[in-house]
Amino acid sequence: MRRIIETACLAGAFGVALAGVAVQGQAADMAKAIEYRQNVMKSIGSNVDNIVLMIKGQVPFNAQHVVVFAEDINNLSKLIPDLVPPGSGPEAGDTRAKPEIWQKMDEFKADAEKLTTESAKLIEVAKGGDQAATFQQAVAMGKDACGGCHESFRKPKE
Amino acid sequence: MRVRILSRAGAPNRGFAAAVVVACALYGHFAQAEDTGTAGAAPSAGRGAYILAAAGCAECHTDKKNNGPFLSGGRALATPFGIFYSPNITPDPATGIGKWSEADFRRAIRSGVGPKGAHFYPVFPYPSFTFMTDPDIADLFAYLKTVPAVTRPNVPHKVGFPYNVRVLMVVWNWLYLKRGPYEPNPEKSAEWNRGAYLVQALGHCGECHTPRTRLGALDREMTLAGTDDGPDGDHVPNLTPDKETGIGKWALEDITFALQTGLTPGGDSLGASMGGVVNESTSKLSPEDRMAIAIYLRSLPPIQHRVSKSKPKS
Repeated sequence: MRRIIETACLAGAFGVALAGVAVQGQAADMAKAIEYRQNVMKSIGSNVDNIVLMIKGQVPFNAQHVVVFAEDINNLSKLIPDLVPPGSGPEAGDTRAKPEIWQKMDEFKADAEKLTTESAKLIEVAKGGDQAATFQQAVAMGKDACGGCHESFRKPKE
Repeated sequence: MRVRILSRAGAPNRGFAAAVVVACALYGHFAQAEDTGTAGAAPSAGRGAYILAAAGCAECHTDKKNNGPFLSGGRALATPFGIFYSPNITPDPATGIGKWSEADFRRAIRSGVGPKGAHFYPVFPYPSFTFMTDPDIADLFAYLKTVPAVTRPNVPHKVGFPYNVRVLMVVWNWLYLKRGPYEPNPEKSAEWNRGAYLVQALGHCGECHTPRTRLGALDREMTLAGTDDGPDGDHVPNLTPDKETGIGKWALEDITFALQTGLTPGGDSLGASMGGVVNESTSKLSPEDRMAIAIYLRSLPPIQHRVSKSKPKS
């Protein structure tokens, strides 16, 4: 009898410990999900920044480079819907993602798709080599595709 | 009681009108106007459209979230004093401002008072718009008359006591309202003065970017230093040239480019409420006007004020 009770207690304690590890694991997962998301966004941002340096005339215009940057933005944009697992919002840690993302997931996905579309346009325009047209599409992408989503779904900087 | 206050207010207003005329004449001498600087020319709806863009009227007076028609009001703005709904400023005679005269409109902009004497709440940023010049007000009114009239009754504000007692605004204005128009600084360049006018009057940037006192007035010692208690509860950045907490590390070109495209140094985008400001307002300014704004902002005294969630609200 004593043995049964002892075994039951040990099993129970082990179960609680496992659950604790699992819960902690989940919290760690969501914190990492935030880091993962921010890394993708920063990658997109680096590509945009390089194009902006060209627009501002601070580095020489290079259409082939723009194609590379736009392709990278285009590829990364397709990951965006996967970057917002439930539970990876403000409840999971320090993130600028607003709860509205999960309340309006269809609108969020549509905004992400806009980036895919606008960056695809930029790839084509840049392949044509025309500087003015390339810059115009890059700015349109930044304003409408980046700006639109960030206006609705990202908190201001602190 | 109410009639007495108004007639008391009526007398100084006539004096003010005279002062405004003189100030406008002086301003016309100093100002770098948008086209030919003809203060005294007939009001122009074309110039008025530009002024509407610079002042960003559509951003508040159009309910974009619910696909409301242009300038027909109804957009909700949450503040610490309640939720306000913008009025209809299309020329509809029943539900808009179709019955207003130009003098009514000028009084609304200059003093925050409606044609029947009702006081506006400063959620309508007349404490900034008061710095507009008479010709700009006239041009804006001329443009508003050409906008499609929409029948859309105003939504009552959701404001609790004592803020719903409008006549208390008389006291608030007496404490805080410094009536315009903008007086150019003769020691500064025309470009600087244009930037000052765009920021202080039309752009009314301080209405979001300057922290407020407990009674909701702009804290003039912290001009444009940012706040974590902005409209809709958002944090609003510090625009002074402080290198750590403001935009001191931005080049003039970074400012003008951000105002034009919403893109910031580093490839980020402004987003949040500023995204709308870029789309509706600053992206439609001339490059010269954006540069004037940048020059003015960079001339401000740097104020170290970190806008952050962890900062205790003062």
